[in-house]
Amino acid sequence: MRGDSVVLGNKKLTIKEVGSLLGIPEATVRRWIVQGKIPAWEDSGRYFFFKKDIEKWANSHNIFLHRDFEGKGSKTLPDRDSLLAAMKRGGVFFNVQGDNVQDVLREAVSLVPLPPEVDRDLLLRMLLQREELASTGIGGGIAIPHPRYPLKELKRKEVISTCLLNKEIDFGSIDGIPVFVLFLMLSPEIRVHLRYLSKLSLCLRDKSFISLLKKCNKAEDLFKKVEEIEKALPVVP
Amino acid sequence: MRQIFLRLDERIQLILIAFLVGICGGLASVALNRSLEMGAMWLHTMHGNWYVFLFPACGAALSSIFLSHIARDMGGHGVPEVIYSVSRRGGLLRLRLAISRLVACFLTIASGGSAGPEAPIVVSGASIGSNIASFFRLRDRQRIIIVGCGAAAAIASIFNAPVAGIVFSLEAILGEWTSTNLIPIAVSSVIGTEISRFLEGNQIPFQARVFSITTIDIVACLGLAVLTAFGSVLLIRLLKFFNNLSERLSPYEWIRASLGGLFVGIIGISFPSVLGEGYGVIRTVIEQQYFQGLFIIGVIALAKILATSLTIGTSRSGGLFAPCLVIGSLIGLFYQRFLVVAMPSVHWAGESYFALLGMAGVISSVMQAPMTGIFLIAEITGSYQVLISVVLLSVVSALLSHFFEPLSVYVQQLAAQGEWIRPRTDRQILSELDLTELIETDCRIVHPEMRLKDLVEIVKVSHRNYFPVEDSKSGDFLGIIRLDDIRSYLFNQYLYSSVLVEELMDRDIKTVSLDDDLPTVIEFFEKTHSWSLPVVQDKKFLGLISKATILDYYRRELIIQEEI
Repeated sequence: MRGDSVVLGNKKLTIKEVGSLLGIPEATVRRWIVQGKIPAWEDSGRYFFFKKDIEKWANSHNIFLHRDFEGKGSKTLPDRDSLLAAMKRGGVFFNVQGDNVQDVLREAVSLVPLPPEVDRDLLLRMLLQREELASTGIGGGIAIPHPRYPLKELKRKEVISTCLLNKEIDFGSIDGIPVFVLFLMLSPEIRVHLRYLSKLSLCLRDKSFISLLKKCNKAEDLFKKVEEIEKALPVVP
Repeated sequence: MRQIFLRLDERIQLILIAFLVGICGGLASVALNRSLEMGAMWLHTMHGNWYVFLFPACGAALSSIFLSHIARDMGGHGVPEVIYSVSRRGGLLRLRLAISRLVACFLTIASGGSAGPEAPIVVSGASIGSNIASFFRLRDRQRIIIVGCGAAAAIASIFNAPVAGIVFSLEAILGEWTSTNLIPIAVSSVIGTEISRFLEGNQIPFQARVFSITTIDIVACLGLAVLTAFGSVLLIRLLKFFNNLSERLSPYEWIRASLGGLFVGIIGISFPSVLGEGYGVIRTVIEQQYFQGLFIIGVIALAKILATSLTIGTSRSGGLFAPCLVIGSLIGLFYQRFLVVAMPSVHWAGESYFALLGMAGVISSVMQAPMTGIFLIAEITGSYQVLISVVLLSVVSALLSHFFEPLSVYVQQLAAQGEWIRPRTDRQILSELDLTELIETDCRIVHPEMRLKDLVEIVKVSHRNYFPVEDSKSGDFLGIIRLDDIRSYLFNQYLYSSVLVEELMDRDIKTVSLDDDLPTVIEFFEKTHSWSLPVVQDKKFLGLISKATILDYYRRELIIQEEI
C-alpha cells in the first residue's frame, strides 16, 4: 500500500482525527469506510487516511472541515487568562483628573496601554457615544465605560484599566451616587466582553473589595484582592 | 499484484474487476447450460416409461436435501437474496452459493421441474462478483456494483443478450441507473456474452422470422397486454399461495418440495410440455410449429402457470425467467389464435409476433421491469423491427399488473419483512444511520431531591434545554426536565429552596432504546411533537437524541451520496 512511506505534505490521519476534522463521531467514520463512501486505506487491519485525500473528498462534496482540529479546541472562547490578567494588562491609575464625564474619559483613554494600531480619538468618541445611549455607571460609585463595538485590534486580549478618580463626578448612574472609580473595559469580542463583565460584577459585589478600592494607593494590593476573589468564583465553562 | 491494483483509480479498478467477473459469470452460465442439456438428453432416453411422472418429485427432493444438508444453504429462488444483499448487506454473498444453487437448479430442472436456470445463474454470478470484490478489498458501495456486474454477465451470457443483462442488473437488482454503475456493468455484460459466444457459438436463442406489421397489429397489442397482465398476476398470486400452503403443510423442506414435484409430475402426464425449463416450447412457438388448437393452448398456459408456481413455491430453487417466457409465448399464441377465429378477414402478423410480445409482457409484469422485458425479447428473438409493439405492450402490461401487484415478484417477500429498501430513498438513509452515532451525551444529570436553586446553577452551566433526572441511588432514569416547562419558575427566587426537581420533572415521557431503528424514532418524534427524546436502555439514561441532529446527519449522508 502506498502509505508506508509518508508522502511529503500528505499527512496520515487516524479515524479519530478524521472524525474531529469532519465534526462527526468515530462510529460514522467507520461506517463510511465500510460502505466505501470515504477514501480510506488499510494497513494490517488498521484504517488510516491521507489528509490530501480527505481534503479533496470533502471539497468535492462541499463538506466543511474544522481546520483547527489539532487539539486546540475550536469551540472554547479565547478565555485562557483571568480577570486578574486583563486588569494587569490594563493597569491601575490613581488620581485621574477631570471634572465631567468627557474629561475623565479623555484622560482614561490617554492612559490605557493599547497596541499602536488603535485610534485613541475614535475610541474616545465611541465611549462618549455609548455614554449618551445609557450611562455605564452601575451604581455604588462605580462606572464601567466601554465602547459599543469590540476592538478587533486587541487580538483576543481583553484590557481592563482601573482608573481611580481624584474627585467624585456625576456619571448619571442609576442610583445617582457620584462615581469614584472607572473600569475601562476594552474587548476583542462581544462574548469575551460579557464574560469579563460578569466576572467583574461578581468582584464588585464583594464589600471588602469596594472598601479596598476607596482607600487603595498600591496596584499590588488591588491585584491581590482580585486574585483572592477570583479563586473563590465558580468555574464557568 | 493486489498492491499495484489498489493504486489505480477507482473507476479503472471497477472496470478491471468487472472484466474478471464477466469471464467467471459467463463460464458459470455455460457450465450450467451444458449440464442441463446433458440432463435433458439423459431424461429423453427414459421417456415412455410409466414412472417418469415421479421424476420431478425425486429431483425436487434431492435438490432440497442437497441444499439443506450438503450445502447448508437456506434456499430461496435466488434473485431476492441478491437484492437483499445489495440493499442491506453491502453486497456480501457467500461463495458457496455460486456452486450450490447451480447444482440444486440442475437437479430440479433436469428432472422436469418447471423452473428456469436463470435465477440460479444470477445468484451464482452475483456471488462470484461479491467474492472477487471482497478479495480485492472493495468496500460496500463498489461491491454492490460488482454484484450487479455478476448478475449482468450471467443473464447476458445465458441469453446471448448483452443489453438485457445490463438493463436487468440496473432495473431489477441494483434499482438505480447511474453512470458509475453503468460502465462496469456494461463491460461485464459484454464479456459474459463474448464468453458464451466463444464457447457456444453466436446463436440467437429463439430466432424469429421477419414479419410485416400493420397498425391493426399494434392496436391488437393492447388486448394482449390485458391477457399477459392477467397471467402474471395469476402467477404471482399462485406462487404466494403455494409458498404459504407448503409452509403450513410440513416442516420438512424436502417433503414439501417432493409433494410439489409430484403434482408437477402428474400435470406432466397430460401436458409434457410444461416440464423442464421449456426452451423447446418457446422455440417451437416462435418457429410457428406449435399446432395445438385455441382451447388446448389456453389450458397448457394455465397448466404451465400452475406447474411453475408449484415448483418454485414449494421447492424454492429455480428461476422465473424461462417459465415466464414460456407462459408469455403461450399466451401470445392463444391470443393470436383467438384473433384469427374472431376476425378471420384480417391478415394478422403471425404467431411468432404475438408470442414474442406475450413473452415481453409477462417478463415486464412479473418482474415489474419493463425495460428488461423490452430488451430481452428484442435480443433473444433478434427481431428489432417489433420494438414499437414490444415497448407498448411491456409498458401497458406492467402498468396493468401494477394495479394488482405493485411489487415485483422478487421483492415482495423482502418488502413484507420490511427488508426491502430502494436505493437513494429516505428509508435507505435512515436505515443506515445508527442511533449510537446520533446520541448526544453531553447532558447534565439532575436528581429528584435537588432543589430549584441547585437546578438553576446547573441550567447556568449547561447548553442544553433538557435535563435528565436519575435516581441518586440506583441511577435509574426517572424522567426529564424541560427548560421550557420551568422557565417561569427560574427567576422566582422565593421558590428556589422550596421546590424540588421531583416536582418539576416530566415522568411519563416517551423514551427510545438503542434497539429502535431510526424510522421508528422519527415516528415517535412525529407523534409526540417533541424536539428531543431520551435514549434509555435497561432503565439507564444514555443520552439524548434530537431532531436537529438527525437533520444534520441526514443531510450529510445525502451529500456524500452524491456522485461526483
